[in-house]
Amino acid sequence: MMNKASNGAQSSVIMKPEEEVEALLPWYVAKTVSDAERAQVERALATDPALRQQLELITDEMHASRIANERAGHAPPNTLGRLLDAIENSTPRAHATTRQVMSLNPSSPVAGMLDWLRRPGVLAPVALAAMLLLVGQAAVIASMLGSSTPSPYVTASVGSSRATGTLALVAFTPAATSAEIDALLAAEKLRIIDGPLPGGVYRVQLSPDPLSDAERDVQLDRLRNVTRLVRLVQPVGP
Amino acid sequence: MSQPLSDRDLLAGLANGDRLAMQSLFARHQTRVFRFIMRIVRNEARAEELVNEVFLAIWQQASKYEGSAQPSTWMLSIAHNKAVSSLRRRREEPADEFAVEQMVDEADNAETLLQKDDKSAILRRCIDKLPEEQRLVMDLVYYQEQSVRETSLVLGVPENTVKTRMFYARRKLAELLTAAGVDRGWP
Repeated sequence: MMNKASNGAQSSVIMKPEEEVEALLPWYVAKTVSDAERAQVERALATDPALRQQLELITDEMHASRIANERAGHAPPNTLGRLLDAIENSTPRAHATTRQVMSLNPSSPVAGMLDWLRRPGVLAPVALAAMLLLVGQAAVIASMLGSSTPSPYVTASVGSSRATGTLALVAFTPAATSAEIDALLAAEKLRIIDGPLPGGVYRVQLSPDPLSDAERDVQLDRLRNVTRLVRLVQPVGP
Repeated sequence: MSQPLSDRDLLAGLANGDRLAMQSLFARHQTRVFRFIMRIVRNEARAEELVNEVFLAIWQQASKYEGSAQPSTWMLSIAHNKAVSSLRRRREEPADEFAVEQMVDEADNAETLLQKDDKSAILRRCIDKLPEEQRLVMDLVYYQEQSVRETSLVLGVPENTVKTRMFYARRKLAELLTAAGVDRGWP
């Protein structure tokens, strides 16, 4: 048993070498030990059946702890909105207005890029590059849409993208500034749920409620029309 | 094809006032942070309020993030400080709705749970009966997947203290399980 080096609290305890290894077992099972610690534990496990027996108990504890944490629930859907309001109030910054977002400024980099695209000989290679990008994105989107593996629980590192309502995948153009995207999201009452995913794609919530296909398509078309900022819109559902 | 931005990239974006990066970081980590806080304060409204405070602090302090710890560890340490401060401020308040709900949820006594052969439920109930500082270490290690060093950074205690708390948490858990009629043959 451990020797306490001071009274009361467990803050200052001298462990025996075998207890050092036993104390590391929870991190070993959780796979958060260093390579050196893992080697140390595995050497001890090879010769100590009592330690090996503990692995199963720790696995049970870990499952129970994860379920208990999952049962703590989720932040309410309006939490992000309140946070953005708080940010707005705490650090006022210049914002693009919705009107600025929806219209094309002739002197903007995007307009300049369109002029460049109109030059002879430029469009074909650009179109090829765009096609390759879309093929890549399609593969990414397909893999994301088909990646719902059922599990009894998820850990904190992978369990944070849960969302309800009507969702879509959206990618923005390289020319879109953060302020413009911010204003677009606010104007369309969109909420980013996850991302950026591979391909620069974001999972966004169109509505906290399930929308009909027609309602959803109207909203998606509105986004698609903002071509200056949005390069890809794909429904996720149902 | 571009790679997804890392949490460090997003924090760098925050430091430059990038609100899209803020939304992404929030989307990735809000559940992790909410649950961590909720397990400490046991009140949904208070947890929501604290999640807001945590992410606002992250927004304001992103330029001070030095990168020596994982972003998730840094965020959890902010969450821990906020939650513990909140508990200190409100220690005198009576039991809240969540605590009552939880008591109802866990109303089955150990005998009933044993009859149902629901050892996982008994384990959960015993974990929740652990002293707060021990249960917190379990949450950080098992659910939040924090290493010894990261757990010590979140809690602001030495690494040996983290190991000791976990060691005693497991011993205490074994005692609680034995008292509930579950013999796991250890220690």
